Parts: sequence; C-alpha cells; structure tokens
Amino acid sequence: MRSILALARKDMQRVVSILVFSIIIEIIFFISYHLFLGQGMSYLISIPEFSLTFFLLIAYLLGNTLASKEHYEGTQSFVEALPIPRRQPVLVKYFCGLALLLILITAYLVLAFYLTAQSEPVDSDFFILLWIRSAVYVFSLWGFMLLINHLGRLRIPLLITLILIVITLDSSTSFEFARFGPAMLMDRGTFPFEREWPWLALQQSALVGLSCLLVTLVMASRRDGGVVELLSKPISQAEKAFMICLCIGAVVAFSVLVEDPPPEPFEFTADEVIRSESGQVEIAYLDKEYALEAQSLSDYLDKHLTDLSAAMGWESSFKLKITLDETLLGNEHTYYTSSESEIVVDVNFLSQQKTPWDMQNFAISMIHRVFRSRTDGRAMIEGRHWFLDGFSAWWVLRDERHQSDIKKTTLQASLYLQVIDVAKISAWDSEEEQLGDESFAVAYIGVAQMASRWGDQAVIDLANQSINIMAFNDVRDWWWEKRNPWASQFESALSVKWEDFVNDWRQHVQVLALGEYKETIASLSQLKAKYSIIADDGRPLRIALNVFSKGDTPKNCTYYHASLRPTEWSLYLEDMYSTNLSWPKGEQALSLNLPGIYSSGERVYFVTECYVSHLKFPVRVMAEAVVIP
Amino acid sequence: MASQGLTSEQLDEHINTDTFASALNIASLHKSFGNVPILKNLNLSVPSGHVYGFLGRNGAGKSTTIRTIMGITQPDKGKVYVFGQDVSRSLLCRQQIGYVAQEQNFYGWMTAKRLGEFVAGFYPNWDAKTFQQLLGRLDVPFKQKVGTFSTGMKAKLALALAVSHHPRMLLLDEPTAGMDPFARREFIEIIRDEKITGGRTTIFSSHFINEVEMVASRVGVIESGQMYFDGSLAELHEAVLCFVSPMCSGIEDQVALTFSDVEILKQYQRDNDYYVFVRAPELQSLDLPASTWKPQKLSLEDILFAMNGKSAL
Repeated sequence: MRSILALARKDMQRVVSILVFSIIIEIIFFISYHLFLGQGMSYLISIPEFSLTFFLLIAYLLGNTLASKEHYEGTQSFVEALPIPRRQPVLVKYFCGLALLLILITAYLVLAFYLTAQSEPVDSDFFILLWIRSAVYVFSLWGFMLLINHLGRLRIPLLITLILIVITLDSSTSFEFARFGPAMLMDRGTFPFEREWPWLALQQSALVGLSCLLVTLVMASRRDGGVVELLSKPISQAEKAFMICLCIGAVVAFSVLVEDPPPEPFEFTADEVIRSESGQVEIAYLDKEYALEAQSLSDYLDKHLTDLSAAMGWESSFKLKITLDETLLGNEHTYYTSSESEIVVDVNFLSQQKTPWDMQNFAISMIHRVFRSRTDGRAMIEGRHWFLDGFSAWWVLRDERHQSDIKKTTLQASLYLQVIDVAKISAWDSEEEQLGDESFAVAYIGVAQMASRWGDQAVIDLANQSINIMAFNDVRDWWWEKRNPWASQFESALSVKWEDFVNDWRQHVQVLALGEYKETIASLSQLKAKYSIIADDGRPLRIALNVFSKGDTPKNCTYYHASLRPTEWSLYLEDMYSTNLSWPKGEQALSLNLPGIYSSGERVYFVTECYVSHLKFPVRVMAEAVVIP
Repeated sequence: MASQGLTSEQLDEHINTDTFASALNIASLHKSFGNVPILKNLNLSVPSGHVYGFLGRNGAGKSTTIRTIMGITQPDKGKVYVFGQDVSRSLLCRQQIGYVAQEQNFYGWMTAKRLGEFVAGFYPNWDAKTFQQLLGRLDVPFKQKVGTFSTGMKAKLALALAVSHHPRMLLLDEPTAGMDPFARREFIEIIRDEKITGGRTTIFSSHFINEVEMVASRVGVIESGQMYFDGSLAELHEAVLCFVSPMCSGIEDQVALTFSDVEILKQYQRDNDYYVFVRAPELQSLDLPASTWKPQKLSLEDILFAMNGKSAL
C-alpha cells in the first residue's frame, strides 16, 4: 500500500500543471460557450461539446505526461528497479488519470446540471444517467489514451492512421462512428434530452475501455517491458517515411477493399403500378384513370433506356421507378433515392398548368441521372460534363419524333453562342449555373454536330469511353482522370483536334444566331433582372427582385432560392425552393419582395427564369450566389 | 510468492534460516533477446560479505546478469537465489538489495530530498537519517532539483538511495560509466569506504579492470554470456605467466619445443622481443633455459588479455 501511495503521489505531482491547465480551460470553455455560442440553449449541451474537443486534448496530455514521457525520459527504468510488481506503476497511472478525468467531467456536469435545474424539470435519476454516460465515456477515452501513449514514437502516426480509417469506414460503409460507443454517449443531439439508458453504447464503450487497459497491461509487461521501451525511442527518418506510407496505404486499402453494402431495393406498395416490357421502368400512377398516361410514359422511357443499355453494354439490370405526384409542376421532379441500380423519382406527368408536362425533358433528365448514378458522379467531372449533358439530350432528341424539339433546342443554343469556347466548356459547371436548362441545348448542338460529321456510332463509342466509366471512389479514379483527360480522349476517338471541333461547333451556332433566330435573340436581350437587399428594422433580411423588359414582356417568371452550405457554390433547381410570379399586364417591370428571410452572413443562391410566350422554354435571366451583408 | 506478506523481522528470520551458504547463487542462467543469446548457462556463486568484482567486455552480459538478479529481467531458463530466496518469486527479496544502475534516470523535477521520500515508500527499512547523512558526506545538495546534477553527482545520489534502506546486498552496475577520471576515482574511494560496503555483499560490475582491482576481494570474469573465471584476486594473479625472449630466427620452432607440455594462451612479437603467455598450474613441467626466457610481471589487465585470447577488455 505504501508503494501505491508513493507512486500515486509522484504521478499526481507530475500532472499538477495539467490539472491547473484543465480547470482553466474548463471554466473558459463553459463561460464562453454559454455566453457566445449556446446562448439560450440547455447548459447540458456543452458537455458533449467539451468532451469531444478540449477534454480529448486534456486526456491526451495526461497520457503523454504519465506514460509517454516516463518512457521517453527513461524514468520508467528507475521505477522498474524498485521492489514492486511490474504492472503496479501502470495501474497506478491508470487510476490516477481516470480519477482526474472523472473529477473534471463530474465538476462540469454538476455545474451544468445545477444551472439547468434552475429552469428545466430535471431530477436525480437524470443526473445519474448523465453521470454514468460521462463516466463510461471517460473510462473508454482514458483507456484508449493510455494505450496510445504506451506506443511511444508510433503514437502520433497510429492516431492519424486510426482517424483516417474511422473517417474512411464512416464515409464508405454502413458503420457510423457517431452512433458507436463513446461517440454515441456524447451525442450532442441526445445527451441533454434523452432519458433512456443507451445500453448498447455503454456496453461498447466499456468494452473499448477494458480492451485498451488489457492491451496496455500486456504491452507493459511483454519482454520485461522491452516493447514499450523500444517504442519510446525517437522516431527515425526511415520510420517516418514508413509510417507515412502506412497511413496512405491504410486509407487506400480501406477505400479499395471496403465497399458500400447495396441499398435495399425500393418496392411499390400500391396496386396501380405499370411495369415496362423490359422491366426497367415501373410507374405507380395512383388511380386507374391515369393508366394510359402512365403506360405511354413507361413505353417511351423503356425504349430509350433499353437502347441505351444495349449501346453501353450494361448487363446489370437498372430500374427507373416513378411515382405520380400531382402536387408537382410539369417541369419538376423529386428524387427519392438514386443509386447504381435504381432511381426512384416523383413526377407529375399529368400537369397541364403553367408549366406543362414535358416528357422528353424528363427523359433527358433520366438518361443524365442514369449516367450520374452509375458512375457515382464521375461522368459529371469538369471537362466531360458538357458531353454528358449533350449526350443525354442527343440520345432522346435523335428520335425522329422530336423535330420540333430540336428546333427549340437549336434556338436555345443560339442564345448562348459565347459559351462555345474551349475554356468555358472546360469549366462547364459554372457555365451551367448561368445557363440553367439551356446548357443542355448548347451541349446538344455540340454532340449533334459530332454525330452529323462522324456518325451516331462514333458518338456512342466516345460515350462508352468517357462517361460510361466505373467508379471506384478511391485513388484509382484520380489516376484514371489523370491518364484520360477529355481532350485526348476526344482526339484519339475522332482523330480531330478538340479546339478545331469547338470552332466548327461555334460557327455552326453562329450561322443560326445571325440568320433564322436573329429577331428572337434581339428581343430576349431586352430582358434584365436586378436584385437588392432590403433592411427590416435596420437588419438586412429580404431580397427585392426587379425584372425589366424593354420589348415583349414574358408570361411569368419563376424565382428559385436556397441557402448555400459552406462548401457549395450553386444548386440544381430541383434542390431549391421555387415561387411563380405572373407578369403584371401592361407593365414593363416586375418588382416584389421575395419570400425568404435571411440572417447576416448567410450565403444564398437564387435564380430567376422567365417564360416568354413565343418560346417553349424558360429563359434564365439571372443566377447568382449572394452573401447577405 | 511464499515470502510475500512477511514483515521485515520475519524476512530476516526467514533469510537467516536459509540453507544456502552464499549470498548469491545463479544456476544455469539463460537469456536471449530475440535470437541473440546474451547469457548461456551462466553459473555464479558469491559468498556473503565479499566485494565481488564482475568483469567483462561491453556486451559480455554483465548488465543482463545484474538486471536478472534485480528481477527486472526475467531469465529464459535458470534460477537466481539471493540469500536463499528465488528472486523471481519474491519481491521482499528485492527489498534486501540496493541497486545502482549504469545510467541514473531520476525524475529531474524532484529534489534529492523528494526523491528520498519517494524511494522510502518502497522500503520498510528506509532510514531517512542515514540518507540525509550520506548526502551530506557525499556533498549532494539536498534541496536542488536532480535534473541539474552532474553524472557523478547523480551516481553519488544513487548510491545514497541504494544504501539508505540498509540492504544486505549492493549491486553496482558499472556505476562509473560516463564519468570523467576524477569523478570515477572519487566514486571508487566512496565504495572503498567501510560505511558503504563494509560487511555488505557487494557486486561491482565494470569494464575498468583497475577499478575492480582497487575494491574487489573476489573477481568473476564473464565472456559471451558465460563465466570465464571465478576466484580471488590472488588466484587470478597466479593463473597466468608470461615469458619474454629476445627475438631470433626460428623463434617459433623454439617456442613449440620449449612449451610443448603446457597450454600456450597467447604469443606475439613486439619490437625485438617475443612474448609467450602460458597457463600457470602447468608450469612445473617446464624446463626453461633461464638465460633465454625471462618471466614477466603481469597486471590484471595483461592476465585477462591473455586469458580470453582476444582483445583487451
């Protein structure tokens, strides 16, 4: 007992500075969190925030001082020479660290709970539940940190590798780290509110803590402690290089070996479902009186998809499952799921209103979506993105029934002559933001031009090489992209320089723009839009929109808007809120305050499209991402 | 763990009743690190009360043997008995040993006083007064942080820590390694002090032969993990003789003829003389032409050099 007390006193004395640092951090975190970030929120909500940030750092520093430094500085060999069992110093360190962390988390919990109790109905049972959650979390965390700090020079590389593996598993498999053991115990969404015991998370965390402790004890006594001593030596350059390779290798191996489990196929529960001849298209049409329309759509899509499967050599069955949703506009569709094997989408194929149902536009979207889903987005990589758009449109419009649509499309394309430029086509994503659906028209003309010069089969072959590609979701995708840039794929398939082809394409559209569509283009150039941010009680909250027309006025305009997340720069119309605005009769301008309230600093993407009477398609007047001041 | 749970008085009684005559008995000790054998069937016996010089070259196995005696390293095979107790099975046995390691890895943030308090927690017989007195005698600052101490100062502190619980055995594992010649000499003088080692079985390992010669009454030589010699210093001095003859043509034939009946340990030419080392017990059978071969006085270093047949220690 005397020896245990001597060791404990020594260990406590050694970590006294960390303890002081921890208390200061804890106080600063609590005050600043509730003063600035979580104002008005439950005090309990900051416990998971603290536990998953600064508390991790404190636990690591504690492990580093108690275990890692002891071996690195050689003082462990001094302790080993004392007449005590080999595992005793490790166990004393373990219990000292555990006690300190428990005191810290308990103090935080007591303070947060006391303040919460002033305004919320909380009882002792809830406190016990929260304390057990916190204590078991500490048990697993400290076990892990002590183990990591017994790994000496390997601890940082292994920690990085472990984090990368967890991220990889989390992102590429059904494993969700946030739902696992310690992370689940400190889940921000449930910790301050959940009154049920999270038994599974408690068991998982206890198992993690216990396993780490056992491994630490085994390591400490293995080969008379020689393993830990050997690891405590400073890392060499060769080992550094090896560890970097190991980290990269681990991530590559995991991303290659671990595959997503296939999603459960979607099954219709209603009786009113039509299945196409090939079985590729299923449509749930809600009511028997809509069976004819559903059958017509099914046949139409089935033909295009069956032909496409044959042309692309797709052996695996691919299903398009459509549900009738009468609340949608004719040009809207909402994806329910979209995977490599099936697309489930809601659409209103009965719409006869302001924006009537457009079957071929829907078919183009579905062809586009099939490539996007099968390649997990790789077909949309800049460089070949324009080709995917153009090919999707061409595949549907090459049908002889669509001569009028081709005319409409060429007119659309001729509006945007300036886009047909090598640099702009290479940056298709940003051009598409400005053009909206018209980008399909511009791309269509390019692919149609290709087909007229080299034949349909050449276009199909190029599609096979460039957009009918497999997605590995790992470094192999990157390598493939490096080796197969669009321009070289195009040149090797068609034996023409990419730049020369783009010039031909532009000249072709120029002829149309200066001839047949000259007047239409001139009238549309009169249409302008402007936005301004208006303040409400001194705070900018709303966006005011003004659309002007110096010539013919449009029939109506649609305003799309949505907030952007930090990594987003634009959005698809189907992912945005929309508002339809009728153009006031006899007026040359449309002005109104748009719906949507925004806060300062928020990023908003909004788009305005107008329907001009003599055109059968919407014209994009404005598309812009705005930061609310 | 038969002896665990005994008080220090019971321990003394237990040890006094042991059937072993020696303070230390090592029987058939084997230890390998990975595939490298360090100790190979090592046998050693050290009588009580002696200062035992443990000699060997770097890597010969001295430290491994001492760490095995301390119970820090577990042997692959064989047994170590200290005062009749198996060290692998008795922690109390380790309380009877004072140990000074080759490197002093003390907590740099502790003072000598705090270090003494820390170590006291592991020894029921700890004598704080003795510790304080020893630090005073050895000129070790009591309230200064150990991290600021020189190598020699740390070794003196280690010695004070090792003897302040009145151990019956003192293990000194190359305590002078890394010291400058003055500090080394000072440390040796301390070891020779009756108050430090007097009446206590002391095992002093070193690869400095003159140090061992100054303090030891018995000597053991370890080579490649095996005991090469074990006996008193006098026995070691009588173990080998050296003869020198002026260099002449056909000297190798002459050596073969003259020393044909004894074991030649080593022979070589240096300048104009030819040296022959032979094992002493067989000397009576030699009929030496006195005018040609003259006996040469050997130092302990010369003897060990001749005995192991390799380079100097």
